[in-house]
Amino acid sequence: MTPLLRKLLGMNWLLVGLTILLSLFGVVAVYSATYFRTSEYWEKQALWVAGGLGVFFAVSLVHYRWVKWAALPLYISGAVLTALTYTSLGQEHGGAKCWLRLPGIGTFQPSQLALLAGILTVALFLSQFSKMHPMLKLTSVGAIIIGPILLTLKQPDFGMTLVWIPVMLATAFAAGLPKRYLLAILLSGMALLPLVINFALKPYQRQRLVTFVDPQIDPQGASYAINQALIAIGSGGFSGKGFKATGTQVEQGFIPGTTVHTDYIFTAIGEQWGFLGNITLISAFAGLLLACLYSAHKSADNYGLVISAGFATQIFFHVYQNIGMTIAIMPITGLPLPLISYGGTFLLMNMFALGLVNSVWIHRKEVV
Amino acid sequence: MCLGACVAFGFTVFSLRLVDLQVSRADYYSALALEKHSTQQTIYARRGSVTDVNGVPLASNEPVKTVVIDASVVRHSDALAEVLSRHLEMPLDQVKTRLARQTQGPNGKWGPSPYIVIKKEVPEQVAEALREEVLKRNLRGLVFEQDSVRVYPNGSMLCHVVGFVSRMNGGLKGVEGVERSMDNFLKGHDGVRFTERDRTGKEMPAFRHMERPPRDGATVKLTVDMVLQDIVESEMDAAMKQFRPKMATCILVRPATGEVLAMVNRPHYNLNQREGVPDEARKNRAIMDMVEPGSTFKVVTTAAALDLKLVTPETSINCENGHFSYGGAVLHDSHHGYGDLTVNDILVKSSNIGVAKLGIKLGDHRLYDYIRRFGFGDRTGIQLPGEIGGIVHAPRHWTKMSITHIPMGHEVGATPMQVVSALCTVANRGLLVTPQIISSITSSSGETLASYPPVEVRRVIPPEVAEQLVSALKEVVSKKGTASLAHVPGFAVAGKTGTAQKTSPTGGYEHGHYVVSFAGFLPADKPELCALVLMDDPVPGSTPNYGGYIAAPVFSRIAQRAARHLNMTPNPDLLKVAGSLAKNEGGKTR
Repeated sequence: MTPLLRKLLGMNWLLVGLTILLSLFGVVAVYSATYFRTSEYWEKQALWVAGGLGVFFAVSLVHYRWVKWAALPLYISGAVLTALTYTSLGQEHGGAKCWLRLPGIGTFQPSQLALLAGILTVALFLSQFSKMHPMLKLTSVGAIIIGPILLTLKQPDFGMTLVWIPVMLATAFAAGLPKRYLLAILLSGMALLPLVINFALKPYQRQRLVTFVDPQIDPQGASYAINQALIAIGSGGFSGKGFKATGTQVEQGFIPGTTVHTDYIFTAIGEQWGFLGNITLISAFAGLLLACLYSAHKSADNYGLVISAGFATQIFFHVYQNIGMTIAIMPITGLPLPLISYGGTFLLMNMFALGLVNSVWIHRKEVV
Repeated sequence: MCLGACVAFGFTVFSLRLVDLQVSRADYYSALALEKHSTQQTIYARRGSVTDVNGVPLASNEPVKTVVIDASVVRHSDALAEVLSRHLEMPLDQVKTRLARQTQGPNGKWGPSPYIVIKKEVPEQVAEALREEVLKRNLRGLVFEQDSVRVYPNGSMLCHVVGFVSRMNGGLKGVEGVERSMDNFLKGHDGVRFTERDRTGKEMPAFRHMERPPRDGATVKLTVDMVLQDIVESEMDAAMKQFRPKMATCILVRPATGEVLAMVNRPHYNLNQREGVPDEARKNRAIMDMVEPGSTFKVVTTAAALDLKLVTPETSINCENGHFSYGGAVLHDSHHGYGDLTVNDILVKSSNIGVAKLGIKLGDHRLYDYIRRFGFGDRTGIQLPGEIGGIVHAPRHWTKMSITHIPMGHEVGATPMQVVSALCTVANRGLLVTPQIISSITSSSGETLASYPPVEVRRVIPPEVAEQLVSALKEVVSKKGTASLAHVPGFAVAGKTGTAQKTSPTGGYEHGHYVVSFAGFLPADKPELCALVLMDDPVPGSTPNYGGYIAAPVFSRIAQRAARHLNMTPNPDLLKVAGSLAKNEGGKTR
């Protein structure tokens, strides 16, 4: 058996299957949310899924150790590109200047790259300096991530900034840092929450928290979006209104057309496929995440463990925040649904990350 | 392990929440989804039409379009503006300004307005041409809404009776004439459509579910016959040209039923072009203007004296040779003085002194009583808005001279309609009938909602007295009387002239300014037609400024043509006599 064939047969089939199914379902979902207006979105998404799956398999077959070499360059380019969004190359979208227009390449979201590179770099650091004092480790991790975080926060992309917190905590946890340190960070973070809400948040962000606590406040204004999302999902009922059903809330444009295929894609899914569809989708995500964590668990070395756990956390947080906000168990913060939401950068990043996790699985028996 | 537990916990929370949202409360949210975008929309009822007695349309609706733009889907704003401006004949700047309008959406964001009215009342052909070009050039965002405008096919004919509407709160509301008085029947009942709309307010016809259809307005049929109206209009136009009066009125009534067959006022206006029309032209003088009736009123005084048996038609009254001092003033007879005249001849010659003496015989209260019984001082009750009752002072307000002035139709304010109505009472042999202008009202489904049978108000005088009056009034329209020019070949005409000096706004009477009139009916023995011709301040030229010379010939011409249209059977004997009469005197007036 050639090594390549062995690699191909030794994939994490659950991970591979769910990645393919979810990303294909993403095309269907984007189509169902936008077909009545334009075919532009789902066609582009289909192209990205095709490219993304290519990336996924390519990364899977390469040993993940090689990515260590890419970590630092990626980290630097991620930070630089994020910084570039502050220049005239930056493009505003939904109030935040978090997109970058590169002549000849197109637009993409560098903060996504920065996060991915951040995970790789931190994992590299933690696996390389495993003997370091935990306090020093935490300080160093903080030093690594503070740059990209501040750059993202200032855009301002609050959602992307938030993702860093659980991802880094999980990465640190996976790398074996003592739980008491992490708990201390968690608790002090919670203690700081009221201060942050009062002083650091912008008025519209505070308003989102208020409408999260009570969606009935100002249903035509501040809490319009959340109420519309609830109506769309709730009216889907147990089995949904059906694929491409006429007269859905989504088709009638009650969910703003600018976000229905990105951050609010779950409303379209929930309305058309109902409770059954949602549970199936969530189960698929659960399966995907468990596959990632199992890969982490079975990883041959610490580096594979840490990056797998980091990516799993990143995907989990995105899923949790995205679905959570449309069903009002999380405040509204614009984060896309991994593999499903329209958007090339995020899809490619996730494919890259899942490819790495798959690679961790494939190469679990090879000791470096 | 710990991370796996986090995933499991997080997704369990999701599931629970989704059970809550999509299973337990699915009905609640489904109801909310329906309510959210089903809106009520008024479907305006079609306004009923107004027709003449034969169904000729006088007021109807013409379909037009309202051009609306949904700017939220417009892609080529400049191209669209250019097309709109060219087809709708609007300045390009104006169209562009309208297209650029922004509104705040339900989510609070400002964006292009989904509902911009570009132009209202666009004719169908223009709308069709616009639609074709927009389709051809593939421009989006154009919406047409059905609407209608009120049109009056006859323009200025019968304008004061038909009246017009104005747009109020999206519907049409009658402002004048029958459009106003019959507004409740004409307007119909608006329907309601419950429609589903998307967020931009665009209707989604596929989701139309409930509808209460509008009930269209009823058709109002008038008693007016447009052929007769046309006859009267043309004759009045000719008279206006010849005598240039400030104003003129003519009313044709069928005496037995009180049906108004024609009603013409001058000045008039075109119902379809109302801009800048002065109030004077809009006034329906037949019911809104008060004039001193003058000598036609003598019929009332004579009727009272005969009914109370104070005199008989043959009773001789001394007419003082044209100079009668009473109450410190001298009363004159207009043509020349008379000695003794019978009561009959007082009417025939229209002697002021004679009728004043009848008034004195009657006394204030009895005269006043008969005036009121003939309908003066009260609205006639015709179904037109704005009618006035005129002025008849109660005897306690009379001056010493009133008893000599009122009998000959001075110091009394009467509408032309009241004068016709009073003469119809004589034609009806003493029975006062309410004049009516509405014949029937038929709903849009063909059901008769209302019909208007003749309404008898009261018996004013007994038939014998009326008969005596009719024979006197027949003599008025003879060579012997003041209105020989009112004769109609083949028919015995009964009537009375009126020539009232105009009251001056500063008090007293204006010299040389008169209101001349003739009121008469035919055939005298079985009246089918009663008419009044009244001209305010005519410029007579060489013609003597009397009702008998100015109004009577107009009456004659109208009555001749009307009798032919109404198929009234002429009396062959009268045809010969009258024919020679017409030949002899025809040249005088024309």
